[in-house]
Amino acid sequence: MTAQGDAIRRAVTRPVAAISLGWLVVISLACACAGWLSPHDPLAQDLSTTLSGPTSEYWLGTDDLGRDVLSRLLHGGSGLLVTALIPVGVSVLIGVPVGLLAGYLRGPVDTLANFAADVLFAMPGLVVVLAVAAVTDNNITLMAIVFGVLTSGVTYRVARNATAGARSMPYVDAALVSRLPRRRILARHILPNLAGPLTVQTFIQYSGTFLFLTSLSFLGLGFSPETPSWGQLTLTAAHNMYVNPWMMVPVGFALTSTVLALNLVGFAILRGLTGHRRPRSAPRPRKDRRAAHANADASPATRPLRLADGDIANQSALVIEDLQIAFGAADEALAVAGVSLAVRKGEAFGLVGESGSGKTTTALAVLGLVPPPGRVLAGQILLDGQDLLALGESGLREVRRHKIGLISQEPMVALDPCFTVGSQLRELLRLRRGLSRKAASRTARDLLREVGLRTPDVVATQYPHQLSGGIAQRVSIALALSGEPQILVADEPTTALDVTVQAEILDLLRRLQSERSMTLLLVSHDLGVVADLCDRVAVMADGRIVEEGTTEKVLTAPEHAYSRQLIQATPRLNDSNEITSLGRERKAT
Amino acid sequence: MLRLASVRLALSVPIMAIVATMTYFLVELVPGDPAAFLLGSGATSKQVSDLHHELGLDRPLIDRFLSWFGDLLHGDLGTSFVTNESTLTSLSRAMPVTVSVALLATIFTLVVGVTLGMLAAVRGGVADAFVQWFGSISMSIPNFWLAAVLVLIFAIKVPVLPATGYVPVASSPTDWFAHLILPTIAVGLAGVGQVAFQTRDAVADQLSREYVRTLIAAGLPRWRILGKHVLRNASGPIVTVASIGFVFALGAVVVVESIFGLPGVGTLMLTAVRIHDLPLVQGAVLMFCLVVVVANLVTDLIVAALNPRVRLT
Repeated sequence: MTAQGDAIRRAVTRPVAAISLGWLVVISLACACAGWLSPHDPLAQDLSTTLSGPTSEYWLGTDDLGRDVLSRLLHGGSGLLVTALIPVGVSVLIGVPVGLLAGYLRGPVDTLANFAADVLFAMPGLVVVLAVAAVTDNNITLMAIVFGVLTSGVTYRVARNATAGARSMPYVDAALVSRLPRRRILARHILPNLAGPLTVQTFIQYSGTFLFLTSLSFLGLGFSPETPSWGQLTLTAAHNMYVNPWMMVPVGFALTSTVLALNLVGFAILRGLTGHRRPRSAPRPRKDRRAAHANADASPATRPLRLADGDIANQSALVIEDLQIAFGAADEALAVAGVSLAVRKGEAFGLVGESGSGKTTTALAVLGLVPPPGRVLAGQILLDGQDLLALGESGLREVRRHKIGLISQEPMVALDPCFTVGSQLRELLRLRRGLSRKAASRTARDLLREVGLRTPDVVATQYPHQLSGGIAQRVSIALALSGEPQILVADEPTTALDVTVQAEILDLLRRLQSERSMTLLLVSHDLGVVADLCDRVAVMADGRIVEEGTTEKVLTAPEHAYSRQLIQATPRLNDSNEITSLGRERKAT
Repeated sequence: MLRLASVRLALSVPIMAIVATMTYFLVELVPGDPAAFLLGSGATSKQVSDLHHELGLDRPLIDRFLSWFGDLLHGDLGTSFVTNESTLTSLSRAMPVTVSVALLATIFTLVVGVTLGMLAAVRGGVADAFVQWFGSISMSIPNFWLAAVLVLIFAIKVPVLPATGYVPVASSPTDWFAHLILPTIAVGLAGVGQVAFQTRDAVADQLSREYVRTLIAAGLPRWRILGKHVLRNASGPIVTVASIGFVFALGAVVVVESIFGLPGVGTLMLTAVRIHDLPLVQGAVLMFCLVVVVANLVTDLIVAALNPRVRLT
């Protein structure tokens, strides 16, 4: 779907920008050569055919005085197109130097310039220009200059921010340290960074200015009533539209197509500069059975457990059978290549491996949260005997609400920054347990206390950014417990935390697991954490489980070469049973 | 929050004072003699200088500015050269019309723009391409042309709405609204594209955040995640764009008022511009600046209210 959308957009954008530019050239040339191209004199009246539709004589019809609409359109564009250059020029002449200085020097100059821009932003352009029209008796040049001054605030902002951005680049620091002359730094290292944003800004501003001038001409201001202009033509068309609405069509087309072409070119440049962000839908589980068959030969599953007989299934909280997940094209290596495992009720099961081994993807698949573009190709995930991969959106939502809790790696970003801890917890409690507002408040406080927070009422009123990492992780755990889950999926729950806090969080998880007799699926690259917490462990490498057994057996007498390497990479574990961490990889699979 | 409000309010005062000063000197310093305009080309120099004296234009500039500014502080915006009516009286009659259309248009822009932007971000693909096109085209249609076409279609060809005129909200809220539907669309459509693009980018960015995964994992319904959490987090840039749209809308209302026969500041001001009624023009500019300053203040407060990280603590 997204790939398709991408293809559509790519197809739409590229030729569109080219066509728009072509159209602008055509319009400009036609307006510039109006005297030569026009079939009629734009002022010649033919009172025998007023307000006519298109005829062979008058291709686009005539106006109320029988003047040729096509000729008037051709003559009516150049004034607007040329005059629109004035405000843009003025705005660049003021905005760019001031923006350069303010962004480069910072300090009081910056403060003052920002304040001046704020003042300009407080003055609505059209109204001020109307005042200029009143005092100068419609002098379009002065009106255009004043409009340019008013809009210079926007150009200033663009130039200032681009300069400030470039100024904080390391290579500019280097240039400063090496005592290059200031002029040279500005010209060589900073100005080039302004070119892109300013081009976009100039384009979009030109299109806005053009539209603004046509408004003035529509109001009968600034442009002499003798020479035609597009705004005036619209006014004539609007006055006579009850008799003959036709004239609105060519006039509207000329105006809209010109502005649209300007905007489209501007956007195309913008997109080329910033690299357009592709919108990504929220993750949705999807199992692609057809792709699985196509893939079956390419992925020899590693000794799948025979779970079909109900024995193991009955004792197990979670059974994963021959799970296959792919991220790339069908012929690429699978991220999860036929994983099978069984987690017994009430046990703590560790899934270890280095980043890229597929352990996190496997765990997230249990919640139906394989991040796009990943997709489940084949397999079964049985929770209490129910196949989660066969569930629809609403069935999956029920399971997420009442059966599984998720604890993420980075607690600070796992909480919604806009809501207080209490509000988030209450929302989930009301949804998951159907509690009343009052009961939810009470339960929220109990939960916060249960995860070891001594001041639950204070924490409840705080926003995520006010919390320390350890407290945020306790809050995350409380959120995960809000649905009274049977199974807790913890994805590297201590990796992002300080070492002392890590031990506390592990203690908490152990206590919660035994008190609530929950099943725990712990994903970690840290053998110390796994040794501390887990009853059994599976070692993953390249999307497969290479070894599985009790924690003691796997850690002390590993059978597989990869397990041995992993254990040897944890030097202190062999000396004592101390909790250690294998370096700080932040990003797990 | 209260501190933020007072800081912003305190900052608005000097801005307003400077804007007022600039407005005065803009009208005074730009070349042109109002007395000559008022009297027309046939006037003798004696007539011109008499009128100068009558209007107080023969006093020194600083003198005139100080008394104008002093009057301003007392809420006196001067008296019309032409009708002799107090400028403030005329403006306070016309301002509500213009501001209410601009406000309605901004609401229209927000509702349509946010809906389309969300659609584009969540659905992607064809929906995204549609929103890109719709937004690009909508911001390219001149408001005055659209206004005329709307009147032609919905008031003349398919007469479902009143074509022109205005009913004060106090006398009949439904009639008031009916009269403002077409102006609202004509003015508001241009902003839809900007708001939709901003929403699309902000929402797409939020959807990749981890808290969204936490909420999905908790079994929160999709619409709730999007409508409550994602939208709230994405709201900052959207509100800012909408407030810029409001300032544009004020100007756009001035342009289209004549088409809809609305007795707003635009109508008032265009007449004043044609007859060179400078005090009225000055007063109108000042009123608009005040509205914009207040709008910017309100915007800052809304953004802060929606996002705890912006609030000063």
